[in-house]
Amino acid sequence: MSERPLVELRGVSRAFGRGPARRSVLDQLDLRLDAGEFAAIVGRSGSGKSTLLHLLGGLDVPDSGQVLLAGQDIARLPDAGRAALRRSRIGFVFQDFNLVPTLSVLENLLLPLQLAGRPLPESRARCESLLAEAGLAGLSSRAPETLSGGEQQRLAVLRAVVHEPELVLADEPTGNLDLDTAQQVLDLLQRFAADGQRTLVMVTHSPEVIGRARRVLRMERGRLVEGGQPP
Amino acid sequence: MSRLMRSLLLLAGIVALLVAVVLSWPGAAPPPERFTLAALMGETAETESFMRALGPARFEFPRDHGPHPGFRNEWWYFTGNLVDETGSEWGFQLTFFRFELSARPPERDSRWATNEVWMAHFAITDAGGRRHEARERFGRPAPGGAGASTLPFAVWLDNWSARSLGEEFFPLALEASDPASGMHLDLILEAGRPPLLHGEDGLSQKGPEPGNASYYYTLTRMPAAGSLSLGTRSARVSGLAWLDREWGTSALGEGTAGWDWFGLTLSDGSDLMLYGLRRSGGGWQDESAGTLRRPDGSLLRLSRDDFQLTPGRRWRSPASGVSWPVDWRLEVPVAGLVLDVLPLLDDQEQNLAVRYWEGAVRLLDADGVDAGRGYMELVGYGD
Amino acid sequence: MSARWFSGLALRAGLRYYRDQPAQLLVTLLGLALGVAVVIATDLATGSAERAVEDSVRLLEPGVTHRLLPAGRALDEGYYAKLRRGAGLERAFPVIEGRLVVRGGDVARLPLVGTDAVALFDRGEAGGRTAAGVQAAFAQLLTTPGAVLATPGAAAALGAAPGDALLVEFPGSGQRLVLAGLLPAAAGGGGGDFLLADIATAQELLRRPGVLDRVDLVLDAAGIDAVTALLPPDGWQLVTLQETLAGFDGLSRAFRMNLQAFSLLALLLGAFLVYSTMLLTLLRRRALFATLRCLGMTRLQVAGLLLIEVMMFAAIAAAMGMVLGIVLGAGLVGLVLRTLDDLYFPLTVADYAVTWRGVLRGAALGLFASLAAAVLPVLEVLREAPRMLGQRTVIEAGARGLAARCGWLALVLLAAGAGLLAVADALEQALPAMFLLLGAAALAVPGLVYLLCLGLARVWAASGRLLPAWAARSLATRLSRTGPALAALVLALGSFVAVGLLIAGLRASVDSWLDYSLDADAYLLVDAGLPAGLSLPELRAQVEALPGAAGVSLSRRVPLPGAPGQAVLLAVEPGPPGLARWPQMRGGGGLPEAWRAGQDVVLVSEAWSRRHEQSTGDRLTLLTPDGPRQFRIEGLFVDYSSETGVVAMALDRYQALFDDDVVGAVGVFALPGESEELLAALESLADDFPPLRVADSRQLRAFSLAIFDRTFTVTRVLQLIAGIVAFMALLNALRALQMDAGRELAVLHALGLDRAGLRQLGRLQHLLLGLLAALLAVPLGLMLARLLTGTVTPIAFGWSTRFVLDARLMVEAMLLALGAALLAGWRAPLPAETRRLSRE
Repeated sequence: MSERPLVELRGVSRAFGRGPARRSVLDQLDLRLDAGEFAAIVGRSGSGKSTLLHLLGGLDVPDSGQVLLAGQDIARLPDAGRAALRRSRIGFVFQDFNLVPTLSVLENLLLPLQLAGRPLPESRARCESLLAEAGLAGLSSRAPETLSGGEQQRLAVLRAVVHEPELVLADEPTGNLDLDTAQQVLDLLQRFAADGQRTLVMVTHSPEVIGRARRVLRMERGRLVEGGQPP
Repeated sequence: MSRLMRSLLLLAGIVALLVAVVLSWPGAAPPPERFTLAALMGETAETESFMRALGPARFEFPRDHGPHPGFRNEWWYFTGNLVDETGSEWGFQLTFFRFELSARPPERDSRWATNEVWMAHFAITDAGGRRHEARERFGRPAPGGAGASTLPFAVWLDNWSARSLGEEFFPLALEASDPASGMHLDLILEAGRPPLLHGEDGLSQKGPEPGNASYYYTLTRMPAAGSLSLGTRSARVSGLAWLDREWGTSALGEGTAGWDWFGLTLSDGSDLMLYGLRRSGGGWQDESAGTLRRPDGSLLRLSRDDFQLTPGRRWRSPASGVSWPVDWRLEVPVAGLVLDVLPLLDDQEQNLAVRYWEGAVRLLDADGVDAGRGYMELVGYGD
Repeated sequence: MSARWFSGLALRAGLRYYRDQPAQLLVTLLGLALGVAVVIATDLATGSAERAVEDSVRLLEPGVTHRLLPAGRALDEGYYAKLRRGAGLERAFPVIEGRLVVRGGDVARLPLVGTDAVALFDRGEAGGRTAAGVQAAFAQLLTTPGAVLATPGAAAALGAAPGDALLVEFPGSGQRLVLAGLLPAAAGGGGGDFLLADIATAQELLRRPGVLDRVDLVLDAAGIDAVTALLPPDGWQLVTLQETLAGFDGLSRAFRMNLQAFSLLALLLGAFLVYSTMLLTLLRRRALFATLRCLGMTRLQVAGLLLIEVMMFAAIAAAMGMVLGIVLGAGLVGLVLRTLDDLYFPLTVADYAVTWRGVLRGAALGLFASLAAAVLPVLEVLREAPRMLGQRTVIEAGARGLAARCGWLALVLLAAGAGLLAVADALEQALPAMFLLLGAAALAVPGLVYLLCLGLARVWAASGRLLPAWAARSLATRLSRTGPALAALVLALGSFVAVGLLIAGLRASVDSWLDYSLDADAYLLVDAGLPAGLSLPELRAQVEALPGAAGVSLSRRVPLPGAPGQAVLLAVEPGPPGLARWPQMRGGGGLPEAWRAGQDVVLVSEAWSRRHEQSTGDRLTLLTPDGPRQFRIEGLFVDYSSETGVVAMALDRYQALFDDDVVGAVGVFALPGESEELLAALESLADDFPPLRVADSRQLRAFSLAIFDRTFTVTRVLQLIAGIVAFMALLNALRALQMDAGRELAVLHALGLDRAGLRQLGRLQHLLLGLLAALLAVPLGLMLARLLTGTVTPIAFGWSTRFVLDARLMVEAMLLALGAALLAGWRAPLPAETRRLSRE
């Protein structure tokens, strides 16, 4: 364990709904993650795993508590600040890929780089080689929906890491894939995100993933518990 | 840039171009050419049916001070050199022109029916204030506001007028006013020297053909007193006035570019009128002429070879760009006269229906001594 | 690392969504373009028309500032010379005007303007085209009797070219004209077709020697004082040019406001289109925006992207609109001018001037309206946090809240509008009040729709029709999609109905007024003078002796002495009792007794009464040649001929007081059943005396109604365009509905409803919308029409008009609404939608 954790959640609470329908999803949750860790988060559906991920990524703000990224409380940041973080330090992978259907495969990969302010011409070569590494060579100008599910998710993984973020958050990335393609995607994720330099947090049901992760946390009643069995 | 963007921009560009084309549809027709008074005064109008200055004048005064219908052009040309109480010099010009466009038509029902058009010029020179203004008006006989009468004498155009105050020709009241430019003139003229007849006893040939002439006389050295105003300056003034009277049906000879005219009141008591008709290529027309009246009343008729006009310094008008010769050397060897004619003010240019220079001048003799005052008129430069 | 503010890829990603639905985009662009076009067209057309009117008033010199007008008959020209001498006038134009019937290659009736040619001499560029024309033919105009200049149009109408000799047929037959030259074509203005002559010639041709109609002057402050000091005491007036132009205002101003109101309405509808399209596409691109937010775009950046997109489309639409507007304006200006022509004085289709100001203003309005329309949808999308990714259906929790908010706002606007209308006393106030009320109606629509749909849903659910109930309820819950479009459609339809009813009512009123004023069977027009050797009593005797003649009426119309502008004095000797119908008194009844008794009494028209706030019992002062004189107002009568008002008095009284025995028209009444005979006899009488002309009463009436119809053609055209735009708005909204409903329908599809059933449901929704639109629009239209006839028209013009219920109009409106609804539902893209959605 390193001196200073990359990610830290302290006493984070989040509830949804109004009035009598108000439901507490996260309740005084704590979490410490060091740089380079690969953590899997498991739990029943509806237990708040996605919410946790959103908080980690600055997509959402807790009702109370702190969300620290490298010591900085990102919950305090305005939307613009959190967006800046997402551009440079955080990457996302979703269960339903969430690629931009109106951009080509290559353009999807270039998008985060452009948002981050990197000049496109130089990035193009890099993206092409990334695509090749992921087995997606030659698909540069195709529309994402013409790719298979596995290809799309691999592209999504590439997109999540192309801007070299410190933290990669994946929400059930293999949920929509069959076993073999899931393996490919996980391999890719591990290669690019769980290489010891980046921190990868993955919400999952898959035992495969749990097996690969170094740390497993389980969501129970709004808190995280170390060590978990597959549900 | 993506293709979509490009095509959208292209579409926008085409549309913008269309708009620009449509908006630049030609609007106003080109403005018409400026009417030249020359057309009115000479070359084009039908001259057959007018009366002509053919025989000797046989003037009768005061009758001939009045208008002469039947002749195509006529004018009453008042000028004067005046001094105010501070010694500052002033000059004025008040001219009434009468033009006939055709021989009198048969009687018509309307009182407005006329073949006469009147034009008047009014100018004041304030040498002390270094200002000169000129105004122009047009009119037609009643009810149009202009006219002239013989007995008693009057000539007027709206509120500019010259009228005899009593039954006699003199005293003569001159009145003119143009409030917009702050010009006012209010003078009484008394009798001066007897009428000075030019040419052959008043018949002044303008071109070689018979009938191409006018009847021409001048009243000189009329004592004038009253008030003048120009802008913010006004003064009570007195001095001498000059009236040129001319009428006829004439045109300038072929090849005449313009003229230089001098009406001078010499301090030795002489009156000198002379004009040079300038030839287009240079030199003077044969019809250039002048008249010198000595203090004793004797007359000297001057023809072209009897005098020399030499233009000197030129002044360039900022308003029109025309370069006027404002200094002249005038020599009449037969009379032993050598004069330098200098303007009281360089800028006495008048941009009216005709562009000409008309202004008060002073005279210096051969020794540079002040030799009198007068008026000078330069026409036909810069066209 | 600072990020780039703008991401081309992101913009591209968003724009490419339009590839799938080019029709949608095109419809939106077209609708907005049309709105912009209409604004521009009306601006340009009215601008050109205004300039034409001004030109005709400033005919002689562009710098004219004042007019000297006579009291009673005419100015004494002897006085004019005195005025010139005394006031030192530098620029003065004595004018006499009239009409000639001239024969050249063709016969034409043209206005003749006579003025002092010398006054126009040597003005150069400062003098305008009239001076230029005069200079070119100066000598001839002064010295050749009968020399005139003509505008190119007038020369063409006469079939003559410069140098031709022409014959005057009226008023003085046998006089010769010489066409001395042409007036150069007008630049960007009009002034119409006319002949110009030196005043001496004009006096002779018009047979009015010694007379001046007015003097146009260029005066500064000192000049004004000088002239005023010299005015004779018998009522001459010096009026400014503004006052003269203001006299032409009235109907033309109302006309202009009418046009502008419609154009703004069209633009508003175009903006609605933008709103609904934006909303639609934003719905579809939700996922994209969420992704972009995830990837690190800030709210502002996303908003910026959307605004850039809107601006691009708005710019394209504006550009299209500019071209369209310029073209449309060219057509419109003809209509507008022809209307003014009919109503006032001759103007031809003038040069159509395209001004930067007019075009850019319309384009700017279009851009602004688009931005404004896009704000709400953009805000709505931005409000959502990006965490909605992964969520499926979007339930509109806020429908009720939205309806309530709109409802409150509607009440506020209603109060404001009603209040303004209550205190309004001029068109400038009444029309904005109407807009406020329209706004209230628009805002009330969502709430009403909500309630109606929920109500319907409940009824249907109770009777077991679950699917229709679902259809109705879904309409209610998706209020933010259906509301605006429906409001737009209701507005357009409502105005369509309202204006249609207004026009119908006005027409009925005008028709009835014509019935009263043109009560004779035929008219002998003698306005420019009686034939030589025939006096009025002689003519009268001859007419009354004709077979079938029952009697005559006489009338004379002159500008009201002592009143600037276009107020009219009508001197009348009514026709034989029992046959004569004039006047149509407000409140019924016939000519008051005091009139018959020859006292100093007058009747005033409603317009006069409103303008001058005078009514029965009040006194008004008229300037007679002997000085001012008071008259008692005995009653109000209906008259649509002059917006500034008409004062009517007995003809014999007029002739006695104003020393004017000219008569303009002789109305001839026929004995019952003998009008054909009389007409024939009248025609042959007129043949014997060539200057006389006979006009059949029916012809005159038809002509007047034709003018009326023409006047409102413009309105109808604009109405049509507004209707088209609204139609497209509805199409758009319905498409939005379809897309949005796709998910819900997918669920139903999965539950087992077959395609046919889905399509039926879709159509039901559309029909419902159309029906609702019609149901709301028709009452709205009726109420508006009521307001317009009952309140606005009296306020604006002082006229009382009928309210006419035109059933055909309302049926048209309903058909329009239903037609739109059905057309939109024609192609139901349901299956494709469901297919695509199931993959997400």
